This record gives sequence, C-alpha cells and structure tokens, in this order.
Amino acid sequence: MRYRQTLIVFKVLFITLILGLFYRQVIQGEYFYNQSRRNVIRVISLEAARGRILDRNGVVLADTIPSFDVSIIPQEVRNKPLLFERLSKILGMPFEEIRQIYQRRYLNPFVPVIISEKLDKNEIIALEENKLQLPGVVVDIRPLRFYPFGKATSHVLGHLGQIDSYRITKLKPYGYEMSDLVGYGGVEEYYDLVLRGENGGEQVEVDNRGQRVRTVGYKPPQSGQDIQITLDMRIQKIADDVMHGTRGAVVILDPYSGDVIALSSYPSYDPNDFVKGNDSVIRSLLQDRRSPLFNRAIAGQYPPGSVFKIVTTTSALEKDASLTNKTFVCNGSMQIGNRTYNCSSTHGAENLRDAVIHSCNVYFYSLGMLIGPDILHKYASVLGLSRRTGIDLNYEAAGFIPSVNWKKVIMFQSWSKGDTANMAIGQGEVLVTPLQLARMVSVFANGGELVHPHLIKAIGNKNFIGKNKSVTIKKDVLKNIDSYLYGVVNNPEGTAYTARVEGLRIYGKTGTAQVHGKAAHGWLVGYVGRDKPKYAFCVFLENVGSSHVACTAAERILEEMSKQGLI
Amino acid sequence: MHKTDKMILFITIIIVAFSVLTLYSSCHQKGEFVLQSIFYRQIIWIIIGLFLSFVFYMIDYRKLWDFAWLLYVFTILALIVVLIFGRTRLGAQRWLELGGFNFQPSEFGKLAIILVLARYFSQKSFEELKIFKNRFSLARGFVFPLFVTGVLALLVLIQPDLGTAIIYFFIFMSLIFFVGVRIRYIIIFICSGLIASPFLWSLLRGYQRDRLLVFLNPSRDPLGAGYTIIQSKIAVGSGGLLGKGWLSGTQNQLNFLPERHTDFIFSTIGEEWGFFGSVVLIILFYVLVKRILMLSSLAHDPFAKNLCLCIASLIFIQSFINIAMTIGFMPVVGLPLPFISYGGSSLVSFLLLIGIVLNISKSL
Repeated sequence: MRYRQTLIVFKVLFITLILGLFYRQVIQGEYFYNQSRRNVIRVISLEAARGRILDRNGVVLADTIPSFDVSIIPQEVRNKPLLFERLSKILGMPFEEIRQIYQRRYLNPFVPVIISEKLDKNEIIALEENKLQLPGVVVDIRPLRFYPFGKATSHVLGHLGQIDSYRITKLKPYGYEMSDLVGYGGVEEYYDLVLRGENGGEQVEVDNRGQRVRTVGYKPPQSGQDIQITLDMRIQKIADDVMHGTRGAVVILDPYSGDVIALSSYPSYDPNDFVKGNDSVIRSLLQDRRSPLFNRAIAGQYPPGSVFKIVTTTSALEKDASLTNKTFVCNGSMQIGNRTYNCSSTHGAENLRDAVIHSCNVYFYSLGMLIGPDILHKYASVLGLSRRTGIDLNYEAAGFIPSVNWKKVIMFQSWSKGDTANMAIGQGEVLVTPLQLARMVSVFANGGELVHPHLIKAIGNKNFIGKNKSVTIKKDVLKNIDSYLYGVVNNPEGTAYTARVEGLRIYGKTGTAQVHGKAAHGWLVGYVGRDKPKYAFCVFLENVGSSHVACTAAERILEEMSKQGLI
Repeated sequence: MHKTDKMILFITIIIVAFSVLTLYSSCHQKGEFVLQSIFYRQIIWIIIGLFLSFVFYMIDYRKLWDFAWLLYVFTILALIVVLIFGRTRLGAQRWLELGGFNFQPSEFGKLAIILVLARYFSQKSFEELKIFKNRFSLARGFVFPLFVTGVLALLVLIQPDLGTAIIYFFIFMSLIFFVGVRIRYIIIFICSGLIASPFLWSLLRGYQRDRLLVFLNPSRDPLGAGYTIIQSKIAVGSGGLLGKGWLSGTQNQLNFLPERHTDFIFSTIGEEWGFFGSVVLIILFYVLVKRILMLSSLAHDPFAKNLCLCIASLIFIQSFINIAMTIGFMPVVGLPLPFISYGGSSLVSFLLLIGIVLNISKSL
C-alpha cells in the first residue's frame, strides 16, 4: 500500500496550488485590484452653469436659460420599441430616427440618452401628462446660453460653441475637454476661464450590467462668475439701430476711463444661431461675402483719410506753435513732383484753423511737407496708432503707419515728397482701426490722457479701472485742436456741420478715405458732451462715397442719445 | 464513541461553517440579501447532510460491502432516467426532481464507484491479489475495474458532465496506484489517454472546446466563454494578501462573477479573505485529507483501507481542480468545491462520506 507516496503527491500538488495563489494574489494582486476597480467605477461629468454677462447698468446681455431635453435612461426601459413608438407620436419624430439617435448616443445604462433637445412647451406638457406610459423617460433641464439682444451684441460678446481642435490643443492645460463649450470671439472668448466655472463630476459604482449601484464620490459643479462689462446697452442699441443694414462700425468710449460704451460692427449675426447649432444659418454666415463674423471695430484696418489731419495738426503745432498762423493758398489742386494732388474744393488762402474746418488737402500737403514724415510718424505713435490698444478682445488689429525707414528697408524704395503729402492726409499706406481713432480723439477730449480701452467693469465683486497714460503733447496744442474740432462741426463751413445736434457740444473730424477701385469710406471721429466732453466716438462706414453719410449716421445716434437723456 | 476521530469531525464542521459564511456573502448583492432562498435552501441541505452523515456513522461500514453492487446498478438506472426525463439546466441534463428537491445522480455515482472499487480490490487478501496480478493482472487488476468505472463515466459524460467523469477516473487511478497495481499500467493508461485525446476532442461539445481554448487564451472571447474566468481571476487576484473583507468583495457583491455561489465560490473566498484566507482553507483540506489517509493506514480491513483512500483522494482532487480552475491554472470543468459550493447533492454526498469515515474510525 502506497500511503507515503500518495500523501507526497497530495502534499506537492497542494503546495503548487498555494504557490499559484501566491502568484495570483500577491504578485499579481495590485494589477488585479486595479482591474476590479476599473470594473466598478465610472465617472459622469456634471456641467457647471456659465456666468452671466451684464452691461454697466446691470442689464443682462448673456444669460443661461433652462433648456428642456427629453432623454431615456436605458436601465429603466423594458420595452424599447414600444417606448420609441410612443415618443415618436408625442415628439412628432419618425420612429426610425429615434431608434438611430438612441443607438448613436448610447453610452452606458445609467447615462441618459438625449433624444430631442430644446423642447417647446406643448411637448413638455404632453410628456408630463403621459409620464406613466413612458417609463425611463425624463425631461432634463440643461443650461443653455441665450443672448437677449441677438445681433446688437454679437461682436462684443462673441458666442458659445463646441470647442474645436485648434482651441483644445491650446486650452487643454486649463482643464478643457473635448466636448466643452467655449467662447468664440468677444467677451465670451476673452473671459472664458472666468465665465465657464468648473465642471463637477460624480463617481458611481456600477454592477456587471453597468447599472448604477451607489455614488462613491461627488464634486459639485462650480458655477462660473458673472461679468459686468462697460457697455451701456441703451447706447449700444441706438448705435445698432442706426448701423442696421450698413457696413461699418461705431465705437463709443468714455474718454476719461477708456470704458467701451458701445461697440458695433455691421453686418452682424445672431449669436443664438450658434448656440442652437443652426447649421444652415451658420454656413451662410461663413460664406457671406460681407463677412458678418468680422469685427470691423477692432480688427478692420482702413485708411483714416482726413481724420489723420488731427495727427498732422498735432505734429505741426508741437514742432512750432506759431504754425497756427501759417497760411497756404489752395487752388483746388497741387503739383508735387510730376503728379497732381487734388483738393475737394478751391479754398483760397487759409490758416490752420480754417484748413482743419474745411479739411483742405492742399493745405495739409504743404504743411506735411513742411514738417516732414518723421514727426508725423512720431505723433501718430504718441496718439496710439500703429499698435494695438490692448482692448480685452481677441483678434485686435494694430493698424499701420508708414515711415521713411520702413519704406527703405522693407519696400526698397526711397521716400518721396508725394508720400509725405499722402501721409499728411491719411492716405497711402496709413491704416487704422475705428477703435484706435476713438481712442486717439479721447486724448483731446480729456486733455492729454491716452486711455486703455476696455470692456471689463467687474468680475464678481472686483472692479476694474483702466490705466491711462499721459501723452507728451502741450496743453495749448490740445486746446487749439479742441477748438478746431469744435469748428468742424459748428462752423457753417465745417465738413461735419450736418452732424450737430441741438443742445450738445460736438467736436469732430471727418474723413473721406479713398480706396482703390471702390467708393470711398466715410468717417466721423469726435467727442460730445453738454458742458464738457462725455463720450468719444468713431463712426465708420465702408464704401459709402463720402464722410457726409458718416456725419448723418453720427447725428442720428447723438440725437437719439440726447433725446433719451443719455448725454 | 471515544475512538471516533474528532479531528475529522472538527475540521469538517469548520469547513462547513466557512461555507455558510461565504455563501451568505455570495447571496448578497449591493448590500442586499437578494438570494435568500438559495442560502436557506443550503442550510436545509446542511441539516439533511449532517443527519445522513450521522445515519452512516451509526451503520457499520461493513454493511456497505453488501450494498455496493446494488448501489452501482441503481446509479446506472438513475443516470439513464436522468438522460431520458432529467431536467436540463445550464445546458446539461443532470438533475432529477424528487419531492421538490433536485438532485444529481452523478454526485451519488461517486459513492457507488468508491464502494464498488473498494470492495473489488479488497475481495482477496492483498497477497493473493498480488499473485493474481502477476498471472492475469491486466484483465482482473486493471481492465475490469476500468470497465466498471468507464460505464458510469460514459453515462455522466453524455449529460454532459466532463468534470465528474474525470473525477470517476481519478478515483479509479488513485486506487490502483494505492493498492499497488504496476505503475507501468498507470503510465500506459495515461499515455493511451493522451494518444486518444485528438479523438476525444472531436467528442467534446462546442462549449467544452471553447472552455479549453479559453483556458489557453482567455482574451479569445472576453464577454462569452472567457468572461467567467477573466472575472474570476480578477476577483481572486484583487483580494491580495488580506482580502477585501467579508461582504465587501466588489466583484462578488456587484454581480460581476457568474456562478459565484456554485462552482466559482472560491473566487468569493479569494476576493474577500485574500491569500491568507485561501491558504487557511487549503490547509484545512490538506489536514482533512491527510487524516483520512492516516485512518486508511491504521485500518486492518482492506475494504476500510480502500474506502478511506478513495474518499481522501476524492476530496483532494475535487478541491484541487476546483481551486486551480477558479484561479485560471486549469481549464474550466464544472466541479463544485467540496463542502463549500452551493448544491445539495454534492454537499450531502460529501457529508455522507465523512459519516462513513467516522464510522471506520470508530471501529478501529
């Protein structure tokens, strides 16, 4: 009888078994432990409510409104075809479509599958009434971005949209995820991190069928902060009404603080279309030749035309204060080199003041050539041109001011007298944005401060004040130009005489900027107030032929503001 | 009574108690006692098993000698009845329904095989058998008992129940090894089995082939045939050194483990009690098996010797195969863990065998 042998066989096999267990449980233990955790823990993200955007008076410009979605919780549904059938009747969607949406969006048994979004009231009522026949169907409230003023605020606020691949690579370090909504353009983009808040999450334990058993961890979503911006919606609305149907931009600033009171660019678009994901509308916006998505007020670069004479005048007076009395004779045109440079009219003999009021080209050709291009370039820079204003919006353009060196080094050409003449009247290579001009003119309104235009007023309880920079322009020069600008609007011979409004002191400078092959752009840049200047403004209209149209538009805006007691 | 081996009794009771604890946990899901009926039914089975065990403890084991062939014939009949009328569950026709309880004749087939073989190899004295063997050893010492085992195994295999059939053959093999049949026959037997394996492969059912293939590569079909073994490995492995604690195994409690109260009950043990708990259980089995073997060596009666040996090897091989398959070191064959898995027939037959062992210890 083989007792010992039998026992040895048993012993050896049992020891092998223990070694096997040691391998599985101790050596591989951690690996399998992690496997078992992965089996049972799922994470559901919870969307944080986005902060609102308010205007300077607390009017809501971008809000989060509840949107009603109908979804199906897979784990609570027994008979899917029957449920789809019933839903299809209530929602008026074909059965097949519901089935396909369900299959496409199904994630796991406890995550609701959204069948239809943005339900209307009747559908919600119908769903609630038939609740008992619709097991597993829930109507969910989801925060949805809403812009009550639509087109009027689109270029200031931007809009919300699904994050794209360019932005996700840029924003990933800040915790953005693939399905996030982010701001596109405007305040929504610039202050996205403040507005978006932080998504929360729920860790749930699930069983073998993926059904929720219990909540393991919960991190509440952190709502985004409200933002108050400097815009005055009443004024913005007025500007918007006037600009409707045109191409151009209006910028209104507080000349002392740099607060952007109104910023309008036309053509515009309704940001709500992007939130709704209205594909056909979005496609037509993207294909529109008039570029409705382009913010002309900050990103459009245009020749300033005669508005630039403010820079020429400043340069001249800074160089030599006695030039106020300098007289040139205007014969309606002027020969420089072998080219003839025209004027809008024949102004005869005139001093600087009259030349500004008449916007006489011949005078400024002469004046420009007298003082030279370098000083023009310097004072353009002092007045904030050729560089970004630093407004808190993305995609701002810098504009351009030519210089002798630039022409030599970059263009391999020598600077001619004609270049100086062209520069002196804001033609040639000079390019500015409407925002830059509004900021430039503020210097004369506030007596020598270059403001930092900004939209942010407050985040939560924290207020923001723009930082100003004093410019190196003498007080009496400012004063002189101030009086000239008053003359432009109030002197019957002034080019902006049509822009005057009863009871308002308006200062301004027109510009008719020639564009190659198209009608000229119209400008009116200035400031306005009752006793002292309250607002600086820039009205710009694309290809309207003359500054006269801009003056009319400005007059309508200021008239309406005055009527509503806003000035 | 004073001669009764109290160690065997004691260990059996500990293992059964362990089974009750584990089953209680297995019957919970997400903190709720969802499979109450299974748990309470097993308690009833334990009571029945202990009672029958006591009955066999009181009956002189020598009387079983007389009933061995009768039980064998009875089992064959019962297995045929199962094939014709039996209830099909989980794809196999194994159960007979008697008075509200289902029982598996194949479980009692183990008892029949043990009794028949133990009787057969103790008919002559050991010396006589040896002489025998030298003359017509192959026919009487090997072929005939193999035939006796084979008939029963075949009936079980048709059900199909590969695991139990393997167990029958293993009982046969351990007994011929034990009584001293030449090693060469055993080796020839194993070799012929290996040679025949390609033919056996073609006899296997689809799911049995799947199980073998899945054993070789579980990721072959992770949600189908491989699912059980993957989840079972995760369960045992995630238990680590000390386990996740009673009623706290996530694999078990969250229903990731199929058959966690029957064949795969060890995965619950491994997950909740860890390496230490598992080793304790294996040691308990080892001590039990060793004790029964010792009894075999002490007995004077060859029938008692053979009985004890068969019972010891049955307990050993079934616990070994079950644990090895649960932790993924053997292909899945449907075999319950002795004394612990849910299932009345298995539990009752094992307790009954313990009753016989205790009776033998009393008679020494």
